[in-house]
Amino acid sequence: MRRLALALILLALAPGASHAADAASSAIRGSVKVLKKGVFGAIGASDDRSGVLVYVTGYEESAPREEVTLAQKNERFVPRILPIVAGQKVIFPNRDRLYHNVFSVSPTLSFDLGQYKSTDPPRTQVFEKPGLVPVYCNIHPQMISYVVVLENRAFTVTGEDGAFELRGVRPGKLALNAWMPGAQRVTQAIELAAGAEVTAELVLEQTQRIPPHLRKDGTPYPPPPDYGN
Amino acid sequence: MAARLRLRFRTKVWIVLCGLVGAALAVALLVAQDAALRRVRAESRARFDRTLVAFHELQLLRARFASAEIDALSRANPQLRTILSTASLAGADLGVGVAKPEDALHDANLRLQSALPSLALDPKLVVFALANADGRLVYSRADPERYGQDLRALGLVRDVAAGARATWIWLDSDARVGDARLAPAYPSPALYLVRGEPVVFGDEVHGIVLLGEPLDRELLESLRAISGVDLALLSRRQVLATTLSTAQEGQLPVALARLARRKTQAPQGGIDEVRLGSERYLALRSELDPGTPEADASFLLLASLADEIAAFRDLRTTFLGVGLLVLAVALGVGYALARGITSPLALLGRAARRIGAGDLDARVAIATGDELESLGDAFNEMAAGLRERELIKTTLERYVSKNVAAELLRDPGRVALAGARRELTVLFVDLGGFTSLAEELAPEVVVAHLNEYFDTVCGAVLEEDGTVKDFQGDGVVAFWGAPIAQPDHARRAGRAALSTAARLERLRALWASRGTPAAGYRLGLHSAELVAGEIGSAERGAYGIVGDGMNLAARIEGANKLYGTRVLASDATRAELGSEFLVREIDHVRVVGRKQPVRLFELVALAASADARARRICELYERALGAYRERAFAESARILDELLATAPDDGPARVLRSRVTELQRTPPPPDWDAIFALETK
Repeated sequence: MRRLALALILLALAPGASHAADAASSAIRGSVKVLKKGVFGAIGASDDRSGVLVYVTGYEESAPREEVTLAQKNERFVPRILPIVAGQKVIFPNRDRLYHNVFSVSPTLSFDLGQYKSTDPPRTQVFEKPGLVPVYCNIHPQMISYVVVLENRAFTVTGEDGAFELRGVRPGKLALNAWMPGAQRVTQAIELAAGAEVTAELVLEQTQRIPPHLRKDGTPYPPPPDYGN
Repeated sequence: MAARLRLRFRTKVWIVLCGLVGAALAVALLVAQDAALRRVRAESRARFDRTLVAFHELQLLRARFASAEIDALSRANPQLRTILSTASLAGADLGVGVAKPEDALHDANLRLQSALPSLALDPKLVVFALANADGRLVYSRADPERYGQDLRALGLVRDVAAGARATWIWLDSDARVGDARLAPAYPSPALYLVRGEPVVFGDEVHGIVLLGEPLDRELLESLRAISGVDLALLSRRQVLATTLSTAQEGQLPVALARLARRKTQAPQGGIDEVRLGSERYLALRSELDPGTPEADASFLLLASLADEIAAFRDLRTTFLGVGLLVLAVALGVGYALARGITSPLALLGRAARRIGAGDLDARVAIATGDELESLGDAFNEMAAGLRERELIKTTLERYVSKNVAAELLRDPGRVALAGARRELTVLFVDLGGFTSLAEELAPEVVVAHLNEYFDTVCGAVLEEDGTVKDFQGDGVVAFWGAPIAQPDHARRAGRAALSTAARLERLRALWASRGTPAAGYRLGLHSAELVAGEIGSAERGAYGIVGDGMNLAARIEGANKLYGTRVLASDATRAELGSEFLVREIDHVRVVGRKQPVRLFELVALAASADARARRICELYERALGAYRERAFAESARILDELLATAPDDGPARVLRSRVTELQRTPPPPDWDAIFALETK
C-alpha cells in the first residue's frame, strides 16, 4: 500500500525532478535508522524503516502545478504522511462507499472541506504556508494524515529499507532533516557542491510517548471493564 | 458473741432470696449486655464492610462512567480529539513554517474554550482537564485560561503516560500544577476521585483526559442511605466531608486524636468506641480505595450506638421490672415459706416453754404435712411420754417409795410387771374399832382421820422402800421384795412395822388430844412365795400380789386381837428377821382354812433399842410357853404369874395364864399337841 503511494508520489514528482536536473544534478543519498524503545526500555533498531520523511531545508522553491492526491480509502488517509511544497494543491478523493470528511484545526492551516461521498467530485485544498497540518475526518476518529508543507521539492519518504535518494537538490549550505510522527526531527548540516553527491546516515529515535493500547488485531480496546491498573 | 447479729428467720430468708434474685438478674443483665455489645460490634463490622463495598462499587461505577464519558467525548466529538491531536503535534518542530508550539497550545485551548459549552459534560464533573500526548495542559475546566503546564508532575498523569488507565484520589491542593488549577477552588479542602485515560486512535496518541468529581457530603449521604452508617472523609486528620451534624463534626478532631492514641496502645480489630458529644459511636478507620499517597485520605465510619443503647436501656428497664416482680413474688413466697416454718417453730417453742414450766398438757397442732408435722407429732409424743412418766411416777410414789419409783423408771428392765413368783414379805395393818367409830363421827372427820392414818402408814412403809398394795376400808396392805427384788424384804418389813406401830401410837395420842376416841391397831407380817405383777383389766389394773400367803398374813394380823399384841409375824418372817429385832414366840396356831399350823411371833422392838424389862418379859414368856408345851402347866403358871407380877398388862401372858388354868382344871388328852386352833378371822 505504502509502496504504491510512494510510487504515486514519485510519479507526481517526476516532472519536478527533471526540472531540477536542469540546474544542477546534485544529489543526497543515504539511509535512516529508526530506534524504537522496547517493552522494557531497551532501545533497538527497528526493521521497519518506512514512513520516514527525509527533506532538505535551506532554500525555497515554487510549488509544482500538479495536484497531489490524498485519498480516503478503507477509512484511512493514504498516504499517512504527505509532504508537499507550499502553495501546492491537494485533491482528496473519497474512494470508500461511505461519507468522509477532511478538516484540520492546525494553527498553520485550519480548514474543513465538509462531508462528501465517492460519487461527489473530490474536494481540494491549497496549502500556502509551510508547516505541519494534521488532517482528520470528523466521522472516523482513526483517520489521520500528516500533511507536511515544505519549502522545496527536495523530500522523500523512505521505504522499508530506509534508503533515500534526493535528486535535483540546490547546492549550498543546507540542512538534511528526517521526521516521522512520534519522533523528534533529526537534522544534519550538509554542504552540497554543484553536481556533487553526498551520502548521509540519519538515526531517528521514536519517542514512545504513550504506548498504544491495542488488541492483537490492531483495534483499540473498548471502555475498560474496571478502573485502576 | 454478745454483739452477734440476731436476725429473724424470715429476714434471713428474705435476704437470701433478695440476694439470689439480685445476683441472677445482675448475671442475666451482664450476659445480655455482653451479648448485645458483641452483636452490635459484629453488626457494625458488617455494616462498615458493606459501606466500604458500597463505596468501592460506587467508585467503580463512577470510574466506568468517567471512562465512558471520556470515550464518548473523544470518539463522537471530532472537535475534542482533533484539537487534542493537533495540540499533541504542536511540539513537532519540523524546521519549516512560523508556527510555534505555544501557539498550537494556545490555539487548542481557545478552541476548547469555544467548544466546551457544546460538549455534553456532566456539571458534576468539576475536574475536567486535557493534556496533549506530551502531558502538557491544554485545557482545564476549573481554570480555563491556563495551558502549557507539564502535567507529568502529577502521579496520575505519569501513570497514564506509562500506559495505564488510572483512578486517583486527589486532595484539591494536589490538583494544581504551577499556576493552573485542575479542580475548583473551594473555601474548605475537598477530595476528588479523578480518572485519567489516554485518547488513542490507532497508532495515534491524541492526548490525555482527566475527569473527576468530588467525594462530597452528597456521596457520603448516598452511602449512608445504603448502609445506615455515618461517615467522615478525612485527609491528614482533617475532616473534608461528613454526614454528621455540624456540632458533632466539631468534636471529630478530638475524638480522632483520642482514637489515634488508643490505636497505638491496643489495636482491637480496628473497631473502637468514640464519643461525640453525648452520643456514642463504634468507629472504624479505613483507607480509601484506591488509596493515594498524595491525598492521604481515609474514611471514618461511625455506627451510632444510640439505638442500641436505647434498646439496652429498654432491656434494662424490662429486667428491672421483671426483677422487682420476681422479687415481690419471692418475698411473698419467702414470707409464706418462712411463716410455714416459723409459726410451727414458735408454736413448738411456746409449748416447750410450757412443758418446761411443768405444764405437761401442752400440745402443738401442726398440719403442714412435712417434717415439721412429724416434729410436732414427735413433740406431742414426747409431751405425752413425759405426762405418762410423770403420772406413773406420781402414782407409783403413792404406793412405792421414791427410791423404788426412781429405780423402776430408771431401769424398767429390772421389774417384771408381767408377773413372777417372788419371795415377799406382806404387811397387813388394820385400825381396830374404827368401823364403829366411823358411825359416830361426821363423814368429813372420818375421811380426815382416815387420811391421816393412811399417810402415817404409807409414810412408814415408803420409808423402808415398801410398796403399798391397796387400802381396804381402814386396812392397808404393803409388801416388800417386789416390784424390785429386795433380799432383806423381811427386815425392811419388820422395821416398817415397828415404825408404823410407833407412829400410830403417836397418832392415837394426837387423836385422843382432839377428843376422838382411841382406836386400836394391828399389824401382821408374813413372808411367802407369792405371785407379783400387773393384775387387772386392760383399762383398770394395778400392780399387786396374790397367793395363799395373803390370807395367812391377814389371819396373823387378826390374831393380834386374841393376844392383845401390836405386831405379829409368822415363823416364815421370823426366820428372815435375824437378830436385829427383839422377838418372842407367842403361840403355835392353826388358822381357819389352813391345815398347816403356824408359829406366831411378836415383834417387840428393835434389838438395839430393847430395854432389860422387855427382854425379861420375853424370856419369861418363852419359858412359860415351853413349860406349857411340856404339859408342865403348874410350872408354866408359876412363870406366868411371875411375869404378870412385873407386867400385869402383857396380853399374851394373860391369854396363856388363863389357858394353863383351864388345862390344869381339865388336862388335855394324851395326843395334845399344844396347837391352838384360831377360830376367829
